[in-house]
Amino acid sequence: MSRHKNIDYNQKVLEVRNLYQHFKVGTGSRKLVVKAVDGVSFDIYKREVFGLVGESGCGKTTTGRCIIKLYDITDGTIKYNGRIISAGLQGNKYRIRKAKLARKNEITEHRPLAKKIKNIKDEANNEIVLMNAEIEKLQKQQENEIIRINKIINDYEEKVSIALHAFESKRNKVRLEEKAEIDRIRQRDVLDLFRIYNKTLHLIEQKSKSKIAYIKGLPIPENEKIERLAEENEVHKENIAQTIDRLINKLSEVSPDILAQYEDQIRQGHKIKFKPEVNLKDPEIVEKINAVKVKYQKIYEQLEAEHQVEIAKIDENKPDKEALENEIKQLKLSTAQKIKEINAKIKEINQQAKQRINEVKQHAKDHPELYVDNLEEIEKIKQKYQAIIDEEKRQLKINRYYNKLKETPEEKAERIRKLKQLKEEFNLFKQKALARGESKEVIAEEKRKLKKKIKEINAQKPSYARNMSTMQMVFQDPISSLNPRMTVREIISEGLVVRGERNKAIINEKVNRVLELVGLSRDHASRYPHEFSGGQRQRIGIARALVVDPDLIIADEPISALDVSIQAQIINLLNDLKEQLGLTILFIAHDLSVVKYFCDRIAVMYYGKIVELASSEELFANPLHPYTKALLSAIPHPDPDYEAKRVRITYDPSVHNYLHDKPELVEIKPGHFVYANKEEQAKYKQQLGIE
Amino acid sequence: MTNIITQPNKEVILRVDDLHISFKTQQGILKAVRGVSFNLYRGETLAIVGESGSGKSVTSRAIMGLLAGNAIHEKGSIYYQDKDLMLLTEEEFTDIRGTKIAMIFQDPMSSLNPIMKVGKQIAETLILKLNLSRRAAKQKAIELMREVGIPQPEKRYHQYPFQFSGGMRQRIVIAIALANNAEILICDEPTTALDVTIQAQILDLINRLKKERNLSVIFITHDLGVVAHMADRALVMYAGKVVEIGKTEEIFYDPKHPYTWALLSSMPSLETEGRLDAIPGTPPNLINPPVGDAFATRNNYALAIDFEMEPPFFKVSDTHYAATWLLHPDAPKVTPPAAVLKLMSKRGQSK
Repeated sequence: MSRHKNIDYNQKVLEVRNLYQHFKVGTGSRKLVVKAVDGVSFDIYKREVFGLVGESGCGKTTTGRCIIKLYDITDGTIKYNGRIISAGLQGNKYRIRKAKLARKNEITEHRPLAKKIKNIKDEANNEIVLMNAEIEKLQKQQENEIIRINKIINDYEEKVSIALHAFESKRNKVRLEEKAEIDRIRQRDVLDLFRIYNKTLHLIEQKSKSKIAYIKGLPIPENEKIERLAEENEVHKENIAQTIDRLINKLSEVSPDILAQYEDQIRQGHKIKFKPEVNLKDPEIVEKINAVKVKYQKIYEQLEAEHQVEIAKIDENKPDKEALENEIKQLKLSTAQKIKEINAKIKEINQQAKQRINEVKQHAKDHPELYVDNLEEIEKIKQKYQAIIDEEKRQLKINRYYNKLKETPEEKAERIRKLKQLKEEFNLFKQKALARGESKEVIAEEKRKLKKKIKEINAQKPSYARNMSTMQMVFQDPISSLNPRMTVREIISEGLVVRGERNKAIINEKVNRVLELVGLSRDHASRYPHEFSGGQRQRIGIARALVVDPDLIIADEPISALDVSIQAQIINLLNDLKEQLGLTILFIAHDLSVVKYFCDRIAVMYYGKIVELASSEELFANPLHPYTKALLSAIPHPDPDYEAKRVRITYDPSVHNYLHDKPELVEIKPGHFVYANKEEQAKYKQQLGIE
Repeated sequence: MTNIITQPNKEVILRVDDLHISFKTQQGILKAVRGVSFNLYRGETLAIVGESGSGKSVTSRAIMGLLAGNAIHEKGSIYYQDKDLMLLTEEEFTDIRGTKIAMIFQDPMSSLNPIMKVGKQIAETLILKLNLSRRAAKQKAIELMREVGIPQPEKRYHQYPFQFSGGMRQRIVIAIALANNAEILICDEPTTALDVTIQAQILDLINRLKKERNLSVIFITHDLGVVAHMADRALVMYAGKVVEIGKTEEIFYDPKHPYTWALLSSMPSLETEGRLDAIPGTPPNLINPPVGDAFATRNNYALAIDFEMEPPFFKVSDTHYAATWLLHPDAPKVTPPAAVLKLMSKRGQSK
């Protein structure tokens, strides 16, 4: 393969240094800082393909977007073609604050009085911090103790209530049984019969009523209606009479005495409500019922006894509630007392400190010669820090210009100086030429040269369009990244128009040229994006990036959304374009086999940090960081035998012990960087077999 | 059709026989599936490989009875338990869909209800299909969530899909699919939207569940690496037709069809160097399918007969068939592309 051949390692296209991009999310107590990119540094050389790999959410896309200035970066700098295009302001502000604090502390060291006072204050503060910690500890202890005691009480109460509940439910069950038994005794056949009788009577009545209503509603003459009604009534009366006869017959079999009592009323068709008490006075029944009641009384007693036993069992370890509550009270009191004491101590310490400070001050008044400030040193320190602060402030100011891609004051001064120099040189030449008596044409020639030079210098003035249009992006989704209401020509030419190109002929010519470059034909220009397939749309996206003659292309997962057979076409296209146009590409992807194939160097990102950076052969041959290993072991290969043997490694971030030994990105071998602490570095070196 | 390969010692659980499905579109009748036949054996994973538009998703949707309203069933049948699924009514199909044959889709977010708690979504199927009580369904759902590897299922039961990451969502979808002890699981590109490491986890999960439950899996994908990892047999589809079918080793180490060659050499593997052999052009329009071999126009190895007559299936081995005229005894001998030769040589090495 021809890769590595054309790379110019002397020319850095892009330099990313300590890039931080933090996002603030949420409000109030849920406020969070998401460290999307957390200190990333890398260089991209001319005509190189640099791959950024990682899982989604690892910050690779954010890095790409920071580079193309879609975000104001938090800290760090991004240099493009030797000029800073983006610089974080938060870092400068933080460093200024830090320097001011350090200055104050250091100056105090050289002022005896202030130093003494500070020492006293520090001492007191240290003690107070300790005391406060003790108070916290006491409070925590008290809390724990109270929780423990309350738990004892609650446990007991819970047990008792469970037992009570069980007992209640058992007793209810037995009560239901008792009631059912008594009901069985009470229900005698007679009563049942009467119940049936009442029901039947009611039913028949309802039926006749509805029939009558029906006849009344019929559209027949009035007299006929009455006849029909009478007829129906007759039939019903007969029915009722028959039913009653049947019932009476049955009653006479079962209970002749009751029948005798009620027969007249029944025959007249009265509704009779029977009260069971009438029959319950029967001594036989009463006796039976009483027997049942006695039986259940015994069961109740037994249940009660069992319950008592259970309660007694629970009560065996019954906590003395009052005592426990008292204990809590005592505890609270004693803790409060202790805290009070400690607070008093704190007050005392404060007072003592104050007193001592006063003493020192008094002493200073009495013996001013002992407390002379070392003015010389202080001045030195002030100067030292002022230099730092001034530098940071200057940087901050310049960074603001950089971020707006404007000329910084320094650059402006430099440019004007150059222009002045040129003019002076010209004047000198003119004078000499005049003195020598040379022709006007020579001077005019020289003046033309001067004007050209001035134009050149002025053209180097940074501007947004000039700096950023040579950096272009190709997006992941070819559907959503193209405006559906614009024709392909409008989409592609937009960059040119923004850059200031107004000549339609030039625009059309350029659009046609890039369309052919990406493998489309020029008559595609008048169509709309929806008329193209996915691969063709991605080609349009690439054409849009190419039309402004870019140096650097940021390709953010350009093939992830494409079909298999089309992916290869797009990769080949990017490869050809890279060769033809000498492009530098930042290739962001998660498909490792594509990255291995396409990129010269690869950086593996994990949670906003680069964990490993090496040339693609080196990375795949000697992966060092466990995350890289896990990532590599997760790729499925189109090779069944290999797949059968492949062992997947899972990455567990807790294998690193970064508590004391802080990790950093170090060059473990020329061109191979890994994020590791000292201990791991030694291990990795051993793995690679180098000292 | 001659291409139904029946292996005598294996139980056929699903049989697709000469399936033809078309769609009514504004431009005309689109012939999406044009004669697909294959057997699915119990306990195997069959991978279906192909570009988008090759008819692999339409075939799987036909098996699930989920074809769109404008679909026309022209011909052919799908046999499951001696029933032709293509002739079933919608009511009859509800007894099979979800309970016997389940499906996992590509995008886990769009196959979950965003305003319903995930636990409830799992329990819902249990209540509807197995007539479980709410409490039992909840318990079973939590068990299922644990089985598919979701930590703290009791807590996660009450969360919404947006509180899950992509991989976790796909796990939920798998839990729903397997809630009713389905026999056949159809996975339609289940890992395309996921990261490599998450993809590996999901694939391992599917493999584990397959082993534990003796599932038969139809795995649709266009990632050949995934096919090599998962499948026992692979089926390559192009323009609505099966072009090659065989055991995974046969497809990878002894491919016969030029389209399989093209697929194998178009994707960069970790060893690929030099220019990629991209497949030129785009798949044919299936409203007017070309005469002869549909792949002929994009095929570097096309013969004159490819443009006139459709190739029949040629037998390579008992389990391996391919539809290309190159296998005809009278055809000229050709050498496959370099990437394929490399793969073929690998087999010799490993043996």
